[in-house]
Amino acid sequence: MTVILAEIPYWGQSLLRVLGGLVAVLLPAGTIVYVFLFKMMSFMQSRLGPMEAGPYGSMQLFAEVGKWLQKEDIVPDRADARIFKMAPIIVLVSTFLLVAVVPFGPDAWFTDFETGIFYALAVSSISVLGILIAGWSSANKYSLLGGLRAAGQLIAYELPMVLAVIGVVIQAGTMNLQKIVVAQNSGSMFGIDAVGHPYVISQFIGFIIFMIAIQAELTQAPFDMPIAESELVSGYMTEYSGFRFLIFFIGEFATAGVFAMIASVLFLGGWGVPFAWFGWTSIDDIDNWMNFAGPLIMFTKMMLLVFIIMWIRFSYPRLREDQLQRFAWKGLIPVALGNIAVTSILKVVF
Amino acid sequence: MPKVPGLVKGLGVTLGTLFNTATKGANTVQYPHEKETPPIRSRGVIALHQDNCTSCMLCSRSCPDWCIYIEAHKELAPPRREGGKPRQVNLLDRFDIDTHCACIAEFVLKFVRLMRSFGALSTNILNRTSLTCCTTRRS
Repeated sequence: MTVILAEIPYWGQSLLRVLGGLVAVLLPAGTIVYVFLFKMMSFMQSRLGPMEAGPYGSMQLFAEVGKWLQKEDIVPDRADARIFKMAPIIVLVSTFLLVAVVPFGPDAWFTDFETGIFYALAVSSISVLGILIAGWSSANKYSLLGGLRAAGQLIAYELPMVLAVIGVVIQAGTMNLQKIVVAQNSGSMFGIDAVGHPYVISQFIGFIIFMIAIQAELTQAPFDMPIAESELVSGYMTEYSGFRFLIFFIGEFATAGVFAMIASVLFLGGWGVPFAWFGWTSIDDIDNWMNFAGPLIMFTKMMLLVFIIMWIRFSYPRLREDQLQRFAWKGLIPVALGNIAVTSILKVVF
Repeated sequence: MPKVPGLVKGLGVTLGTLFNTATKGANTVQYPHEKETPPIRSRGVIALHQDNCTSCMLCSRSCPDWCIYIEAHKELAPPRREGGKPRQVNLLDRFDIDTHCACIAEFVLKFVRLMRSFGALSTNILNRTSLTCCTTRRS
């Protein structure tokens, strides 16, 4: 991959990266919406879901996008129009910035930050700004309440997420996502090389906390108070229609995909398979085909994690606002802190 | 055996339904392509026993939503017996019901039949106004 890139001029590389970023964000988002939102939810409710557009309704998403694009782009009378129009873009941009650090193969990455996971956690909170100004600028009480709830919730669950990641960082000894993948796949567990050392086992508590936290970060049920449709119409999205609603919608499921990718990098070994399978010892030994197999492995792991997220989403009713906050501050954060303490002690001892 | 937490049980229910739908098919039907047979006592399109109707307006008045429209005019009918006076009868011009009526009063059933067909509301307004077309003569 690096060899190929060296022959392409800089603008060509940039173009390829932009295209790759679009594919890495929109393809998982579309797949998640079709497989999980349309089909899995319907099957869990003993119905078939969309069946008319294309075979088994597979073209339904294009029909929906076409419908949204035709709708009028309404801005409320008293709204702060410029900010109001900007808000969904900010939410979507944070997703695109997030995917920039995710490694898809030994050489297939967009950027190779030394502090990758730090950057990812920092950038993921940009979407809070977008949601907050969407709620504020709509000039609507429901939107404002939804925006405030979203801000409170996202900040509350940012903390356990960061704290859960710290356990992984301590164990891997690096913040670089690529090196975290290598550390998991080149390690061994109980003296067996063939399983590698996925942190989902040694950091199981961290994994659970991280999954709960991203469930809340993505505002999926049972943590969907910001868009609670029975109380707040549609929360911060109430006043949005057409294209801008579509951007919010894409942002929601694209972020779900990207967060699942990050979770799979941190806990499931990312793009890699245990290196012992093919006799690799370090990242330099890896064959070039891994650059093409890696994204597929990554995609499989992402789908597995998104399946869990969506399964929980379709099974549980919504929490109350105060239960949500109590769960984060009194439940997850102390457990995550304890997890960090235990991890660092064990790291020093062994 | 320890009690299974409700949260886990809930996940099991949704996953079980998922597999049931995938293997045995859904509980729903794909409506325009396949139609359900309605249960025997289901109340569908309303048909009128036209001969029994005397345009007394009782049903129209008893309908809380004013859904039943009746128009009639009076005519003279030949006497029942030889040499009698001609009778005055009400002849029904229009009997329309806006919807599938679910709450139609008990006494009206003598004059109105609830058919088991459905879908009269599905296509267009012409279907709705043509409800009088399915009034049936008492055999």
